[in-house]
Amino acid sequence: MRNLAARLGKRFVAFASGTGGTILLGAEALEALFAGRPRWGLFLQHILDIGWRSQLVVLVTGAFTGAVFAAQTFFQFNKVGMESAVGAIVSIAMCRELGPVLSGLMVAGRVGAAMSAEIGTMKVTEQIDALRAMGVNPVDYLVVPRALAMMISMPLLVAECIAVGILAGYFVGVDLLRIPGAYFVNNMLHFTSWTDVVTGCVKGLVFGVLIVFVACKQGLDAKDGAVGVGRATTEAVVVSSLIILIANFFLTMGLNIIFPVL
Amino acid sequence: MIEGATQPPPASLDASKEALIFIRGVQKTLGSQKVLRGVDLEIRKGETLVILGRSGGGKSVLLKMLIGLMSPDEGTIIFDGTNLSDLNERELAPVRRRFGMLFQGAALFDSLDVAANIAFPLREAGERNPEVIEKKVREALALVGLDGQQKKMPVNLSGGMRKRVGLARAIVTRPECILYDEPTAGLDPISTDGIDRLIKDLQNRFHVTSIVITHDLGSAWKIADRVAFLHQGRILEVGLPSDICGAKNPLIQDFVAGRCGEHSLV
Repeated sequence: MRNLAARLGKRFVAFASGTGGTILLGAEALEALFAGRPRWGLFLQHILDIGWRSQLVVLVTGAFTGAVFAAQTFFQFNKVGMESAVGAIVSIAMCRELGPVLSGLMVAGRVGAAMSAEIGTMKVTEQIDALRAMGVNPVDYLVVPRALAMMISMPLLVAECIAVGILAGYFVGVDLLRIPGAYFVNNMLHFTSWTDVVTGCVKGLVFGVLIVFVACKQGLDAKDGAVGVGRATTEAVVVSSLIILIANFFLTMGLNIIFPVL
Repeated sequence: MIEGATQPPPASLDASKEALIFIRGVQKTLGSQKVLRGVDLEIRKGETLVILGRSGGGKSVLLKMLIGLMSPDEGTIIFDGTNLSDLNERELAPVRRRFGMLFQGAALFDSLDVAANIAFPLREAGERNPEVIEKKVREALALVGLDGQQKKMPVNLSGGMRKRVGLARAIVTRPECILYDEPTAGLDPISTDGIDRLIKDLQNRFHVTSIVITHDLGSAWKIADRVAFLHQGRILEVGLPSDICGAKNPLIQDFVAGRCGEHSLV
């Protein structure tokens, strides 16, 4: 019993210290944004890595999610003769929940893992010490350009995911399942407002920030060679995925107060 | 003189030289291991100080503390009148730019080629002219015998070449003080001699202060103005190479003779 309590206590301390460390890294990055030298070259390179190169994975995710969601909604609503509502439901779900959450999870897997592995390898091979020895602050050089690139890229990726999801839903609903196109589009436009799109993009922005700081923190804390880098990478993906799901609930509740469903 | 020891050449020690770095009562614990247990040392401007000692004795930790990469648990390190413990990471940056450091594993940036690695500290120091950068990179590479390797990626270099590129990066900005963590480990005898000459040459031409960690006694005797012997977190002896070679301490005698005696097993 005492062992179990000790183990739980140890886990709690590790969780609290990890959370605290990630928040402090965020604060340090905010300070570096004003105190450090801007590194536009690195920023553009990360825009390319995070934003441009994540498009395929996010578009495929959005397209098939929209398609399958339209099909399932049709199968259920068809029973009660409400198939014309499919467009509205797919659109709102993609904007408010599926687009941002699934894009966040995919980016956490693709970009978060790469970030923590790269920074972790730099840590265990003394490259971060070499940066510091040359008078370069690792937060300025490694974290800030990635955070800025992620803050620009994620809302755009989410917007793309939403758009492709709705298009795929339209294709499945109208072309394959024979829902009248006019009803599909009219109901979609009637029930979807710009606040739904803004909600999705705001969520994407928050998820992007969470992914960057969790992944960078895991990388910067890596130790014990290759095993440690592997551990940091796994932790980065698991922790950022869980945080996205948890944060999504609170964001949904909070954003619903700011942008209530009409 | 210890039996079996290589003979150090007579070295001149100018005791009147002004001290650049003061290390006072420095202690450091890593995990459960007490790595440094009260180190006191002075490093004089323009000298080459070699720190000898067995592996795991705290030499690399001490070297990292000199540039503020690690901070002491107790004690002070004063560089040119500035107590490094009083400075935060951002305030340490200008102090660090006065140093060059060669890491044990070279610590080259994997994502940059050789030229970009060497140009990195120049760009960070504010140099923007590509012609000046290219010229300085070529000069630094020529000094370590690697001119023409600019486009290679670190992953395609041998261990010795990586070390020499790391050395070129450490010296390219002509720092006042260079820290070398095992500069000749893994190098062939000719490259080793080249690096030894380069360290002496930098000292003679630019009055660079050098602190060198090495296990290569041949190199130590060639380059050192003074030698400090660090064992189990304490400085056992500091003096001219000839003083260390003739030291009475049996541990130092065993180390210099390359002998695994009863004292060295402690």
